[in-house]
Amino acid sequence: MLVASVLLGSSYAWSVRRARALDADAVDTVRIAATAYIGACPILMAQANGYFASEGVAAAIHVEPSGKAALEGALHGRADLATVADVPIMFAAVNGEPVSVVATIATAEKDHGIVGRRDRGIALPASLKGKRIGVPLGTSAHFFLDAFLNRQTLSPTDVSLVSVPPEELAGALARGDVDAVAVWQPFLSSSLAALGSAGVVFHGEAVYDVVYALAGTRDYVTGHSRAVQKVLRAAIRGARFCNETPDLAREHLAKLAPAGAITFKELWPSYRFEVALRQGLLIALEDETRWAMKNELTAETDLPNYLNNVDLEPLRVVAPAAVTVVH
Amino acid sequence: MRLSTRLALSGAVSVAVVALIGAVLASTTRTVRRELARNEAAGEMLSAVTNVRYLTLEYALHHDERTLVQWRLTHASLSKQLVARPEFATGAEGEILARLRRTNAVVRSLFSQLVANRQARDTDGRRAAVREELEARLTGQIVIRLEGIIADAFTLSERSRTGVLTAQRRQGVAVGAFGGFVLLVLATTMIVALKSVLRPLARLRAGTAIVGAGDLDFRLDEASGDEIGDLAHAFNEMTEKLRGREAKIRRLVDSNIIGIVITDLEGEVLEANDAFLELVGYSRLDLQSGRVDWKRITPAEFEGADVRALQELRERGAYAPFEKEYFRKDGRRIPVMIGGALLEGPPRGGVAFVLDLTERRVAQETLARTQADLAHVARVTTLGALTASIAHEVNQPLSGIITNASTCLRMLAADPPNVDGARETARRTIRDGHRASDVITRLRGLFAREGVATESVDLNEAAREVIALSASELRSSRVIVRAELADDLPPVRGDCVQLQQVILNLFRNASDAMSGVDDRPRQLVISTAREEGDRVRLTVQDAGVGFEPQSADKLFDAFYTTKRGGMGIGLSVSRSIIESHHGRLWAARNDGPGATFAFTLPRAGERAASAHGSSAVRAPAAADVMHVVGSP
Repeated sequence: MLVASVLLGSSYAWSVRRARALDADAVDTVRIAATAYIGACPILMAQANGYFASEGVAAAIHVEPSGKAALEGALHGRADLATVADVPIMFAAVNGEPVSVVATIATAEKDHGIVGRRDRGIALPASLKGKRIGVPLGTSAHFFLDAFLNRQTLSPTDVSLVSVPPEELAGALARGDVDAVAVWQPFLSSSLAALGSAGVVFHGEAVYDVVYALAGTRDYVTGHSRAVQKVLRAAIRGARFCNETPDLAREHLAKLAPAGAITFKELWPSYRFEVALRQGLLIALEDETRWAMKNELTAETDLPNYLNNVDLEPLRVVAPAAVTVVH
Repeated sequence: MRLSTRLALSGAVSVAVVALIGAVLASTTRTVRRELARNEAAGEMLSAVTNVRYLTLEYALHHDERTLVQWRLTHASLSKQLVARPEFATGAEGEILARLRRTNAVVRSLFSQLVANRQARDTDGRRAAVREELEARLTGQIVIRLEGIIADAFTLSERSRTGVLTAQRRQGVAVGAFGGFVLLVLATTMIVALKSVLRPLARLRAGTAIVGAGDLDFRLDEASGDEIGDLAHAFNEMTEKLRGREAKIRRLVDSNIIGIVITDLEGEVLEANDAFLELVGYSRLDLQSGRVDWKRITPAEFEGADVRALQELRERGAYAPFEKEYFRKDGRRIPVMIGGALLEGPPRGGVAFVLDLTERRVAQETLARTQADLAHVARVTTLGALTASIAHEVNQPLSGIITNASTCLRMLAADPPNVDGARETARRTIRDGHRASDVITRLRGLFAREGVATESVDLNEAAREVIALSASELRSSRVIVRAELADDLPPVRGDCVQLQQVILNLFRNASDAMSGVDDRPRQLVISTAREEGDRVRLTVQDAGVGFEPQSADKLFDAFYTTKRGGMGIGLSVSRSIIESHHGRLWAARNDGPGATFAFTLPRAGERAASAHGSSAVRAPAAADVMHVVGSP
């Protein structure tokens, strides 16, 4: 009897374990919309190095022109996950989209900046007062400019904001249509290059760190926890690759975006690749939300609870120490 | 492989493994200690940055001086910790520490801006709103960066904790490996001990019991080449030797060549072989029923010797063989020689070897009689051989007497009678008569005496008489006799006639040995001398054919002869005579041709010498040489 019980129990335990193993071994197909930019390095390297495959994920990467477009792809079902910066996430969340962040994958300190014309009396950040500044309104560059001016104890009303698409900023600045421009890379570098020695660039200190995240719809993230965990495992390996072998990572990245090769090398040191979920993300999103509301970039007036836009569980399973969101 | 080699190898391996494990444990302990120190440092960082974070929020809330002072103190402490941290100076941790320092500097800068922004007082409402927004943003940035510091410090803590766990796991593995090795060594040792030592030893112990019980055919089947194999081999060899020894003893006992008796230390007979029982005329039934009583079969006069033998047996473990007698069952006495040794017990006892001396005693008596008969035969033979010589000796004076008597008669019958001449011839007749008488007297002496008479004998005189007796024969054999007789030769004690017989025999042998010699003088030298130790020596040297070295020991054997027609008893009888006089007779080869025979005798005692000295000794001339020339 005892022997039979033991055999029966062992058999059940084996079958359960086997079923779990089979479940874990199953290959999950994940569609990821990503920008061919440094901030998406962990995801792009995970694909390039076969980390997704080795983690049991058949990943399909769709390269999108911007993080905003990538997020829209995910929100509209063209992709399962998207690599996207914090500001588009903020706007999606504020506007009630069911966006859910599963991890941040990179942060950049000097991705945004301001290029000013020296001949217009711009030599220091404080000399921006009263100047015409070109900026793509409603974007992260707009937020950065707002924060930068605030750091100088200037109000947005102390300057004249001119809405200029990012790709046109360099020309506008060179022509003198504006005294300065606020924009992100690589347009920042091209704007500075257009002025040559007549230009001056400001990044500020700890004004705004761009956060690149991996996000999807709340339904997808909740319903595909196992697949998301696999993606996160591969992304962790990809982040390590980006940190430890930057030359190889840039080489891979340059194949996707040949035009940005030189910029990548220049910007790489300001990037930190880390798969995490920090409390700081919530603080940044809330700050950006307040900015958006103040500038009437959204009709919403209530600060959303961003805990609803963050899914801690997959990363908590994969890398518990990487989750510092208080929960 | 031998056990000693196995033990040495396992010892070396154990030492190496223990050293390896020790090194791993020491290394792991160092690692654990280092990782713990790192973990502690990371913990201190975490604590400090957490305090800074708390104070930042508190300052943002209250803006009071106390919080500001505490913030600066705490931040200084954090900065100090981030600067002096050799635990995280290298590799990825070095990069993290560098980033921490950079971030910390940014935090300090942001907080300074926060304080400055707070202390700046703008009355303008719009500006105040800007400053309020700036304060919120600065606070947020500070909190975000402090979170980054916390995350990095936590990473350091996590890495050190992982290091501790890894080291502890390695330590556990090392301890486990060591334990496993110890178990393996123990198991191997037990198996080896069981297989190679204990089981063979158990078989050896069982074998010892079997052999001890008397089964000497038992053999240990141990083919290993180790010490146990050696032991088994030695055991088998011992058993083999024991079997051989027991077989010898058994053959000795069963052969019944000699009587063997096993007794207790009081002499009571416990066991005896058939030879002994036959010797004393008892049956085995008698032995088993206790009728073979040691005291009963031992005559009273030998009880003392038996008691002494048993005492010696107890004290020395053996007693020297001695002769005694037993009473046979039929009452007759039987001479035996008995010797024995102690048997190791328990029970302790002795084994005695009993040799029947009956035949030896009969043989001794027969030999004595034979020797006496031989001596008589030899004497008669010698005398017979001398008859011609004696006849010649007697015939000479008789012829002289007849011649002188005839001459005397013719001188008396002459006219006038020659009285003086007759008187002279008569004196010659008398002289020849005396000579004849002397010959007869000596002859009588040879024939008349029987047995060994003890008297003081002057060997010089005895030698001269023999020379005189054999002069005629020696002459006929063309032998030149030279006598070198010592002046102060002391007398010996014995039978003069027997001693003369020996000398005569030596003369005859010398003469016979030189009978074929023609290329050199047939010289016979007889000499006497005093020897040390109060002995007297007589030597007869010839120039004959001598004898072969290998014959030296046989010359004195009875019936051994090198002469054609010889009986081989002369020298044998001569040695018997000399030995009966407590002397020694021997032969030696000369450096040149021929041989030398000599005997020594003890000199007579002082009283005997003085009593007989005057009559027995006649002073010989120095280098007294007698030339006996052969008859024409």
